[in-house]
Amino acid sequence: MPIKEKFSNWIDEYHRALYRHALWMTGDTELAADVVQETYHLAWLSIKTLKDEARVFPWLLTILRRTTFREYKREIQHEKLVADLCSLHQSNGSSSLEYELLDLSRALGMLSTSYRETLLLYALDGFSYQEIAEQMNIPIGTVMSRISRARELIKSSDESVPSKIINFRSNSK
Amino acid sequence: MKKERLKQLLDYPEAPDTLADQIRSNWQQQLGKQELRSRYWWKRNISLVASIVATVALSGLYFQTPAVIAAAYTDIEKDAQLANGLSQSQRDWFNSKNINLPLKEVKIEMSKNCTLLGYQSKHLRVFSKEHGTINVFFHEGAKFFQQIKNRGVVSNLGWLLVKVRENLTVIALYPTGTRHEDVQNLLNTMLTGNGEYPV
Repeated sequence: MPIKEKFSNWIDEYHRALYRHALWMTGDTELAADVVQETYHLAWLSIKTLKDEARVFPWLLTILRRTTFREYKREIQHEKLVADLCSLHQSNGSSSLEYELLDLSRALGMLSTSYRETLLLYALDGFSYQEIAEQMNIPIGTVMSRISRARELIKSSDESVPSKIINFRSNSK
Repeated sequence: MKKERLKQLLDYPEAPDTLADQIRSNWQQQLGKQELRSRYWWKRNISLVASIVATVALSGLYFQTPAVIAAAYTDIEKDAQLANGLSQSQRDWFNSKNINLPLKEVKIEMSKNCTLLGYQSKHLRVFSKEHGTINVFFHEGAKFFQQIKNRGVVSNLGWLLVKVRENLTVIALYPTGTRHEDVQNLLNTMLTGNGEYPV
């Protein structure tokens, strides 16, 4: 199959996963869409650096991570993000789902970029510890400790949901 | 929060429906620009390409042994056993061209007409105790004798190529142990009688 045809397929196959990763990293729906477009633009420019087509997703993700690095430090507008997510789904979303997403967004926002990145690669993108270590060029032990601490933080934020529900409701008005 | 639930929540955001189309549209534009760039690359860089080709060609001329030297070398090998001295007709030809014959201490072993790359030439083989055997070719006319490189070594012989005047070129092949300055002196002796030798 010609490379152009393959690349076209990769757009269909991976743009959603890349978008989710970019979204949870940047906390901004429009910015995430821009980042994904930019990622594919850069990917085509450097298509010759793709050594193994079976590993195209990690390769795209590496480009995306580099592309979005400068955006990681932005202040995430959690309520706006959740509202945007629900409007994208063209549904009001159940309240409990909104609260859960809001909690998750806030918890991710509290994580440092390196912890958030590691957690997303593990929980969202489904990479193994070893693959994450290779992607981020860090020891596997560091990957494991980052994921463990990140999950602890999310768990603890989970337990304080009621206060956040109040905050969300007051902000939504 | 359990890992499965975390995964479900992280998976919740859906990319905008138009995103794939936007990416593909951008990519098509990118492809178009690339194609345009490659189409105009030749136009923009034709002078660069031409200069590179010229440099390579000139380098070839410089580093390669000229074909005429190779032809002269073949002629030397072919007539290695010939020792006819200098005939009267050959002597007359040299006189008619205002070319002096070598000094008496340099023995003329052989003289003959020969063909180098299809052009008629004179082949003179001389011997001196000091410089060994030197083969000198005189050629009138052919422009291909004008080379960028005018000195070198072919097999076991050094060679010199000198354009004496517009219609006379001289080639000398000599033992590699002989200094090319000495060969030039010999040619000077033969050719400076009328002040034509350029060295």
